[in-house]
Amino acid sequence: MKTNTRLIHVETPSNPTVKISDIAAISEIAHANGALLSVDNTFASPYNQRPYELGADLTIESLTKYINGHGDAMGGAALGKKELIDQIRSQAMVNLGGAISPFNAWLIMRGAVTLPLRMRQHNESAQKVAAFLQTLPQVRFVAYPGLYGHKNHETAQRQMQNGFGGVLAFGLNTDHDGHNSFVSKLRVITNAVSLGHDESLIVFLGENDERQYLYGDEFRGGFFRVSIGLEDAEDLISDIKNALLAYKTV
Amino acid sequence: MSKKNIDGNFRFLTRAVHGGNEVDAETGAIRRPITMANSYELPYDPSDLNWSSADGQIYTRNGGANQRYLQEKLALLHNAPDCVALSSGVAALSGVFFTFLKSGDHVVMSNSTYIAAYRLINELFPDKFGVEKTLVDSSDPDSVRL
Repeated sequence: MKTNTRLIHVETPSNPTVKISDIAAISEIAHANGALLSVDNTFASPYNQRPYELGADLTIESLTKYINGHGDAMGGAALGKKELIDQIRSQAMVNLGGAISPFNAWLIMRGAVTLPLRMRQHNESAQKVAAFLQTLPQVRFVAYPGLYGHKNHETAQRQMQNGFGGVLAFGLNTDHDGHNSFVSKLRVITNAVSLGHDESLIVFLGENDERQYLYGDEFRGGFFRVSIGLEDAEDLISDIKNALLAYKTV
Repeated sequence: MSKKNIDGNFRFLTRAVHGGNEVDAETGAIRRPITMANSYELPYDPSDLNWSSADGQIYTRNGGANQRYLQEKLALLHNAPDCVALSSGVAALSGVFFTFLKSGDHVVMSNSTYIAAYRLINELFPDKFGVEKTLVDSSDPDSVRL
């Protein structure tokens, strides 16, 4: 923190390493130094975590993810006190032009009705899949805030009231091509970016990713980010089991 | 016509279902319609309107009906006093950064974020506007405090 620090920005859980940051503790640091705290809440959704209640000045959501939930509309939101949100409305919407289309707003509004029901299933299935992955000898590491072994599991438990979300990261004991081969053998989990959709999605972040230097050691051999969807968790586990039998390992 | 007036006294599931919805005043339909119009009718004398206002109904980029309904629901779900809905998550991120940062300001950002937040704060804002940045391991509050 410096005298000219105006803003602290965090994501929790974070993309793509599901790092957990303590919103209440960081908001105290921000406010003691006259700075604002913005928290990207996309991985949690308001069902699991509400940063405004924990002291964040600005909460950011990609509505494209859990809040719409169906993978068919894009949107975003910023939430907080009116005096801050009015400034964003005037500058970022009216003058930068980032307005949402009425049709997308309507789709997201319809999707958001079932947010709590979907989040319950995302939370439950991701916990099951993460626990399963931990038992496999082919798996190099699993990162999920709901696991006791996660570095900040206790902080996650304190600030995520209903669960830990549907996103996890893991790596295999294999090389670059082995990771890609594994994805090519999946039948249920789809090889695509984004998260929070009804269907499960997986993306390989290779060992040449430009931000490798910022991640923990376990992420540096290449890893997957997986968004656990609303399929039956047993089918997702079978999909992973079958791909591990068929993929081309080193 | 009855008004639902769903507020923070209702629990999360109820807010998720009813928040931002009311009976449509014109048709009586129990769901608010999609309003795709770009423009809203001006008053008899529009000459003293603030064309940059986000308050009134002028033009959908200055605020549309469906955007307003969605904002009502999201504010209820977050227990937050206000909300602005934008075209994408990155529009919200860049909107927050553009609105609250100016040349000479310093930002402390987590070293694990969405790639667009990294691109904006690590490269574009420093290069274009002279904003300073420090990336920290935000899982440790002490590294944020330093």
